[in-house]
Amino acid sequence: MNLLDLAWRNLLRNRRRSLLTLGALCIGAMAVVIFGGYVAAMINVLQTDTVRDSGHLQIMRKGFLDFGRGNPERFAIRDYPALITRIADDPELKPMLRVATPILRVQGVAGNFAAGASSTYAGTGWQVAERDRLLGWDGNGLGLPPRANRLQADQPEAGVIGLGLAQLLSMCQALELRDCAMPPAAATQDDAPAIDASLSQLAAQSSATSVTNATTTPADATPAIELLSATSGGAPSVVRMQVLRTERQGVRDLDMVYAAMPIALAERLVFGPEGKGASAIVVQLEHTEQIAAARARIEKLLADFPGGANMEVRDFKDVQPQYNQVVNMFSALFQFIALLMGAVTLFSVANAVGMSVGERVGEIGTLRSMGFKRRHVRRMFILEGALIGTLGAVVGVLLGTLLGEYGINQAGITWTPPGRAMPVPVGVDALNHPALLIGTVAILALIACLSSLWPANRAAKMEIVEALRHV
Amino acid sequence: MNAPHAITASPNPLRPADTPIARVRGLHKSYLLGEVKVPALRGVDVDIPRGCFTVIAGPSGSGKSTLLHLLGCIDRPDSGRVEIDGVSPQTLADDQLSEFRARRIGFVFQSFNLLPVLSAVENVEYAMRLVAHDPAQRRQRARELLGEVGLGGMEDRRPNQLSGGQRQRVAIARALANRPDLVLADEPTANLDGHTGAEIIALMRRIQRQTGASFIFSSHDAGLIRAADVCIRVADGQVVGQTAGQTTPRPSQEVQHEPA
Repeated sequence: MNLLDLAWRNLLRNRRRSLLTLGALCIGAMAVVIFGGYVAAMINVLQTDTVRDSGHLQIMRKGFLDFGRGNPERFAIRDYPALITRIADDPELKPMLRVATPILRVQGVAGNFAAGASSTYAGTGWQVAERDRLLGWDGNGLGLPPRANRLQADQPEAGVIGLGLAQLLSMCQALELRDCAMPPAAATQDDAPAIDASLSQLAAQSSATSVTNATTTPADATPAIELLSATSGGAPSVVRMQVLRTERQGVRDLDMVYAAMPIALAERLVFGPEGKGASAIVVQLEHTEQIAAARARIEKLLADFPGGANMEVRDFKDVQPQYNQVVNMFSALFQFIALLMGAVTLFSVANAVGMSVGERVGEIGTLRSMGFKRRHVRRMFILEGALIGTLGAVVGVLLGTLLGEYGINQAGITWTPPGRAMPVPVGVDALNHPALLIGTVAILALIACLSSLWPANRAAKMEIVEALRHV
Repeated sequence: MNAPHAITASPNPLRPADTPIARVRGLHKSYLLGEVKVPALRGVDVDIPRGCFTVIAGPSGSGKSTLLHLLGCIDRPDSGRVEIDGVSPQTLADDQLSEFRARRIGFVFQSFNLLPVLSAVENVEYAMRLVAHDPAQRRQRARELLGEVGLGGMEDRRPNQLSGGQRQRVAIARALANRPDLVLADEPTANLDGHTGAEIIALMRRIQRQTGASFIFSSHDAGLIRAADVCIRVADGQVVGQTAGQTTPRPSQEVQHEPA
């Protein structure tokens, strides 16, 4: 018979109370594991989604994130093919590298002549084939299907726009969109003529130099819009972009301006017919853990690249700060849940051990009279608290893991996170996070020990004679 | 393995037999009953002889249990001095006092005070945890002691599977577990019927003779008083008389037990 055995037997003295305490601890541990696993899964999905959009790293001119949108030409990397070649051919980067592709940010006014509608847009030019690869990244092993790339390599003049922008440009009918609201007729007619005239004029100028003219291509049947921007020289430039389809964005403001297009089209807008340049080079790695090593290597390469001193490497968290905001939000929620469950553990164990002390005052007096020291008594009750705490936490973690992995994960539930247009599966990723499982057991057991400390101290401080009188 | 060996005490070789096991001088002790201070002992002076079967007798509320608690070092006096086998418990820190109790003093309680979750043998063994570190030796000695008090074959029974007398026998075996010099028993027969009480008295008497340890009881059981070598009478918190016992009982049938 050892002390653990004695503690166990003492717990069995009042089985109902011990079972209730155990149940409370189990539920607490299950809640922590399931929610923790859910947060881990959510962060994985979010990270996958973000990396598919933005890559792991982006090489850009210093200050681009803050000022680049306002002056794409000034912050452009003109010789991006050379830099991409250098990165792709680097023997150190090669094993880590999945994609290195340029993007060009562009913004201006988009117009639909036929409907007499216009609105501002913020677009990005992509290399279509490389974007396919970007959107297929699954380095976290979630088994998510690749996101569809709506751009088409064989359609160099065609892009996609946000559903909100399509509405603003009165393209619901042309694109045969469902759930697409038509603008109030009066407002459209009042504003249309002046904008129509100016855009038509610019489009006419542009068509004279454009490689492809919407009015003369066989793709005429495809709805098209005019994109107006300013060239590097400050002159207005317009291209005609066929709209392949719309892509609803999760954030309304973004949906109202979103446009994606082949990079050649964007380059024509920003740099004119022969110009080349990129706002950034998107670098996607095989695994997120390689970011630090890849970043260090790219920075070394930049040091030897002409103009590289004026460039910087930013990771996806810098490029998309909402990633960290969402992660922090989920982390805060998890901490709140964990705090609540910790409080449940604290009060459950303190109550159980406290009642046990109250019922065993005579026993405490007996043990002390037999020569057991105060610390022995204290240890005895703390051990009981620790035992029930650890047991409850272990059982709860096991049940939570089973429920998460084999219940929730198999249920096929989905939801659409804030800022996202596509639903994601509701998953619990507990088994891949041993720190969550071990940490839950360790912290709940520690809380159980701490919460039994107060009643255990009360027991240890009892005067022997008074305790014996209690029999 | 033989029973007499199991209950051998370890009397202090440095103390001559005629030195008292306990010496008490000017002992005062009061308790607070609500806001009222109730004196329990009012200047007790007494020497308790070594190796004797001593009873502290007196009516309820006379202070005999308080005196026993002070002799057992589980309470501290307001004033005065207690000396157990030459050691003054007042000078010991709390942990030292616990150590002293574990090695030198055994307790038998009126309500037996066994740990209900432990079997008979585990109750006896548990007391030895503080002194003996070999679990096998502890278990062996606990079994021998239970055999000695007549509970051979009942080692694995829990207290709730034993009668009152059997429980008190386990408590006696437990008190003897660490071979104490001094065994204190607070009204050990008060919760037993007459026949069982007499058996317990006879058992303790026999063990006391075998071990040579000093046994001190508080009791107003006439049978126990008659069985004592020394009877210290207490009334109103003071010693009012100390006499040698009237009989020297041997087997249990010679003891006339009168339950409380």
